[in-house]
Amino acid sequence: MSSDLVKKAIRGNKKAFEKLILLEKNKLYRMAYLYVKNENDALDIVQETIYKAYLGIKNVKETGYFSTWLTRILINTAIDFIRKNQNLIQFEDLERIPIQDQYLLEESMDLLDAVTNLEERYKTVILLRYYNDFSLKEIANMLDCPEGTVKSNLHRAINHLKSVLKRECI
Amino acid sequence: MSNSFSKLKSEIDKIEIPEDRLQQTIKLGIQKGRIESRNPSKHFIYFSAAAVVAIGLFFGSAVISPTMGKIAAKVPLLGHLFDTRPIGAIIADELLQKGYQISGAGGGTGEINVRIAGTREYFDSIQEDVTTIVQEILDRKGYETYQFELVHINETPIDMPEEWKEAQAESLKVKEALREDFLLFDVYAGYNNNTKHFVVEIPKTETRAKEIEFAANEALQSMVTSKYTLEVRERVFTPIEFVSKLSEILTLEKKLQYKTATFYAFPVQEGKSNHFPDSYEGYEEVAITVYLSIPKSQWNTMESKKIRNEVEEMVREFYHSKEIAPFLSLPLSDIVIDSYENIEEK
Repeated sequence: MSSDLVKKAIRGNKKAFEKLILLEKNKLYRMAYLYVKNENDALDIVQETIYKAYLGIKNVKETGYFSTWLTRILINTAIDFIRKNQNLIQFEDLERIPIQDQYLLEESMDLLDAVTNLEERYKTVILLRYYNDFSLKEIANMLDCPEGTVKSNLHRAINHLKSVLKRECI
Repeated sequence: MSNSFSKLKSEIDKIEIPEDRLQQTIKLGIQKGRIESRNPSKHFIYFSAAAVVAIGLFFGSAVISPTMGKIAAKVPLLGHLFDTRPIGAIIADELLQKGYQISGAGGGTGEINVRIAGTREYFDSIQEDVTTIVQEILDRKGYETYQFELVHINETPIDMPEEWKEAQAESLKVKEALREDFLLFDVYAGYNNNTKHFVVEIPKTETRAKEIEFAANEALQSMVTSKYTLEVRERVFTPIEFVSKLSEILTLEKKLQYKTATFYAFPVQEGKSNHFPDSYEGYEEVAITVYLSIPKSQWNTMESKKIRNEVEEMVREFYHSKEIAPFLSLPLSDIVIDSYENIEEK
């Protein structure tokens, strides 16, 4: 990513900001989609993220952190979205899947499904580490928590995925 | 494991992108941001004389602080750091000094307009140079986030009116007169609609505002024969302004001595290690934490250890100096000097 472009965007150049967003748009959408699992909500999250980024871009002090910063906004927005909409889940969605069916469902899951179904905090670390390729330190900074917490969440997430994907060799 | 996770990446990348809807979403997000960021701005055009530069405070602090004094001795014009005239006045001065035909410079929250007088051809010929100059001033003075617009106005350029020069000289005299008895941040003058407008900036801790106003009026009445207005204004450095001044000092100092280190200074929210709040909703700075970064490549050298200690000392002296402290309302909670791998080296 061009640091000149980021600098321009920080200085208020709208076209530079738009170009940066276009470079990141697919990643933003896919991340959002993995949190909410449907197109409409994912687009809402992307829109809110861009809006927040537009207002906050002037506060980015180091051009090298743009991508980290933007991803952080997306994650916070997605998690906020999920929390706000938790009360709106339809009753039928909450019905329990019979144990046997649940087992079959898990067996047929692929890795992507398994990641999508992870609890938010585990999903977040897996995506940041293996989809965005951020270092543990960067993730810790982004999530505002100690590096040790990131490591242990990552470890738990991997163990959980292992247990879910019994037939996969993770 | 790594194979499975590399597979994860390719699986995620297979998630279909609704191209048209995503484009529309991006447009709407930006549009919403634009609407939100357009605050009504007060347009007051300040003019001031190029020849007169407000100095003094820095040299005042240089007397009491050996570290700051060392810097001041090396940079005789460092006083511009404490030039608190409105940014429009600073820009107008510099452009006039360089001989550009302008009819004004000013703006409001987050915006700066510079009005270029003369023909369209003239505007086209100088547009690029003026943009560079103004952008450089905005960066230097910590206004890099301001939106800047160059406007062509087909009107008579400013010819440094006598009243304007007078107002500057008068503001300096008021400053000198008041400084004997009061701690001031600055006194400066604007000129608009044939009226001189004087602003006296005092610290938050000052309880004698009425007395200062009376003394300033007394000094002005003995000098100013034309119409004028006077405003005594409380001046508080926000953490961002404080850190912006620090950045200027460190940048200048780097040029002088710390050739190998690159510092960035910014305030952070109390209790948070992250530098970039993603939203200012509920964001409240309760203390100033100065965060300085040195590139990883320079982190482990002996030289950088020395630099770190010196810079930390400088920040503390700057914060506690008797000239700066009364203008700060938040405590200095910490100075964090750290290194970053991916920091951009300048």
